[in-house]
Amino acid sequence: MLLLRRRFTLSSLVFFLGGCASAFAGQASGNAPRGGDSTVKVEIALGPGREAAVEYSPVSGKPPLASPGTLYIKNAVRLGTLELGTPSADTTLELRLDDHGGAWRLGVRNPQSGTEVGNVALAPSPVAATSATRAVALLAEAKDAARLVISWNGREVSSPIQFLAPPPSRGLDNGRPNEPVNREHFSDATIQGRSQMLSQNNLTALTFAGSRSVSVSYLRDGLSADGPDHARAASAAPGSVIELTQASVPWLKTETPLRFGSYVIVAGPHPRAHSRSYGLWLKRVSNGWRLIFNDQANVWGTMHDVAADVAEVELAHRAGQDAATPFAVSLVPDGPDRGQLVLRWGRDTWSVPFEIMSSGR
Amino acid sequence: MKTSLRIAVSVAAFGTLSGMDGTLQAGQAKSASGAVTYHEHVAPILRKNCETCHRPAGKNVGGLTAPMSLRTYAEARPWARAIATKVEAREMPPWFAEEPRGVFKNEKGLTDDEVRTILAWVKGGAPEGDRSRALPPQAETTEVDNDGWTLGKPDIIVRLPEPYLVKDEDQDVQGTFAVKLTRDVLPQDVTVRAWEFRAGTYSAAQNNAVHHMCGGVHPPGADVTASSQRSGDEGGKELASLGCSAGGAEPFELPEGFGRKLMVGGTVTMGMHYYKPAGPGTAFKNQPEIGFYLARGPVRHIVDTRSIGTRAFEIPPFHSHYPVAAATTLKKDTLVFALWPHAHLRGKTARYTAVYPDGRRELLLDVPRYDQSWQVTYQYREPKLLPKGTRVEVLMHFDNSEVRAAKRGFKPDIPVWFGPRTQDEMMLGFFTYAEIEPTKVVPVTARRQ
Repeated sequence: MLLLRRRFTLSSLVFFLGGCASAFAGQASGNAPRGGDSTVKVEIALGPGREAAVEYSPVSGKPPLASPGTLYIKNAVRLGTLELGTPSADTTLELRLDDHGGAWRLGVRNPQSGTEVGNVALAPSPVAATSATRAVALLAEAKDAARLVISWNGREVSSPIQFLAPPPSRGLDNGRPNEPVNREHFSDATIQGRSQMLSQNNLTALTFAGSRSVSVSYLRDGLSADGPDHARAASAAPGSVIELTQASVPWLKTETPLRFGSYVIVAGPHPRAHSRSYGLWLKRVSNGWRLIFNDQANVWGTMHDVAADVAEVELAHRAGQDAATPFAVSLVPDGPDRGQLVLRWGRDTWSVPFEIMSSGR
Repeated sequence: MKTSLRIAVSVAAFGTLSGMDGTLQAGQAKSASGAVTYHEHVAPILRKNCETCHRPAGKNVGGLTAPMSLRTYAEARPWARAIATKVEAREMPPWFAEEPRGVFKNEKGLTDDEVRTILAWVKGGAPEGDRSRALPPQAETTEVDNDGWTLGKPDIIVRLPEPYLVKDEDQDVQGTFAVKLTRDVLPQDVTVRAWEFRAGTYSAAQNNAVHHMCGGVHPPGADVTASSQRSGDEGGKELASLGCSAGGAEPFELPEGFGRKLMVGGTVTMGMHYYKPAGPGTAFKNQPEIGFYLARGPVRHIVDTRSIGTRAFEIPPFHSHYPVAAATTLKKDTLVFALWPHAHLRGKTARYTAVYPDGRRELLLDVPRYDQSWQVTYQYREPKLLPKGTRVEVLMHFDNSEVRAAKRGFKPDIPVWFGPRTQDEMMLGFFTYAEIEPTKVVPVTARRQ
């Protein structure tokens, strides 16, 4: 899989934000697409204003971005050596993957003006085995940095993304003394709610065809690899649910039913609720690890209520070399309707595949 | 439906102190003549339990805006039946903590005997009794003497220089006002032992429109664009915070040796949140102020207020008992002076728990019937020492059901996130504290008001 074969060290995890097209509202082209009929959208947010997304068609037989993909960014970023975007503005750009005599590069184009913005050299990564996976991923590497990774048919290339100086947080008013802000009682609070959440959580999301979104968020800088929680996890007895004393439980939110193994994780308990949230808990078992889905998505990592468990699935586990990776979760696409949920903490990597269930299944 | 923060006699009840089921019968205390009278039997009860709110001043945003004063026979007699109804139902006085008992100095609640006394008085026609047995007036809280300040006349008052106009079309307004501590306001650097917020709106209707007021103190040269409302940052330390005050809150005085510093050239910030319907005639002017009380001795420990909370939650539509929680691990030995759980219209329960380094758990506060209209600050009688490494967990439940929506005035059919409007939600467990070095732990006694 894309992420598991990564050569470089990740200092934190990728978070893909689903269902947050409204976060990109206001750009010149209007609301950012939430995933077209045949596209996959991967998103990452490392805080308010440190947000990027790539939308592409996972076309068979071709690399992703063989046909133009779309890059959405908030504020300014540096993609490779190319500075893109504008502070305090949303920018939409076209990306195209080009082969220049074996050296792959990303062409960046302004779709509104039709002008070429520049090219970004892509660094190849050795891939252990050929893979039919065609995917684009945005992987967090640092507090304000990520990596754009493109893979197909055994190849993998990437470029760093540096988020540049987002506007300062304005708190709950506008940050300007003596200038109160008036809000309507019942105006839409979606964007504000997302911004508040991102002020403390990282977020990663996948949006599949038909605007079906899945996201995972977790507390930023919550759990280091050398903290007491990781030490306890490493020595946990079989049957133990891993406690996180220094962080909230990771929060999975889905707008679509998901199949994890034999379990179907439902979405929308009520006709008027279009998404559903779950807390994710690691559990040590005698022959490995499991992932618990729990109805309480916003509790602290010490407050596991077994009565609220809804599913428990097997996790694949492997131990890597990098002992410093802080706890993180990422959603990695694996086709037009499936992906992997990956958790990393210190040397440990756990993963489980999932697929989007179409309506009626 | 009730959406205001007004303290009224219809606030939700709290359970009994002695566990009785509310079927008290009238006829406990009696005078020599056999009758239960106001001056001999009832006035002492009202003074001890009711007059801090039911008083004529009404200028303090901290909840002391009860719709009627009950200080004299003439004031109380017309409300006798209402008083009996409310105390028998345990709705008054308002106190929402179930546990622990006896640790908070502002704990309210009538004993069963006290309730029976009041019922007997009303049943007997609410007689005045012998005026020679009347209690002396509380001189320090008369409006003339202290202009309505709960803690008495402040030594320093910092007031917004010009009133702010909340306009007809405004609905949910938030902003931070910054007042420079010039020498005419603050002639020299001082340390203060207490502070009291006043919203600056002096009619009951206007006070209803003040959702809350937060304060901050900044040293000279500090960046005051950081809103004083960041005292609400979960797990974070707002060095300048004076905490917040909202309906039902009471100011309190710190023990000797604890306080805050005000510096000439610094800034006092007042974070205001106004909430009202829009429409013609709803505009009003607001001029908030903070009164400071000088420390009577050296301040060895700076007191601060921070919160344990989270901004990352989403309350589903129609969910009647949705849990949201946060925690923080203390990095130093900490003395805690007060706890203030804060949520909005959907807040249902609040609980603080200390998990000590040895794993022992202690319930610090349990509020099983949280009411946003009553923003009670639970003030420790003796500051609570929590050693370094203690994890303080705050768990709140939210009720986004149609039943609650009908009572409180919100829409239950939408997901709800953290946000500044009253229609949004917050999950914040404030606590007022001072970090101390282990070698400097000294017994302290909270100063009585």
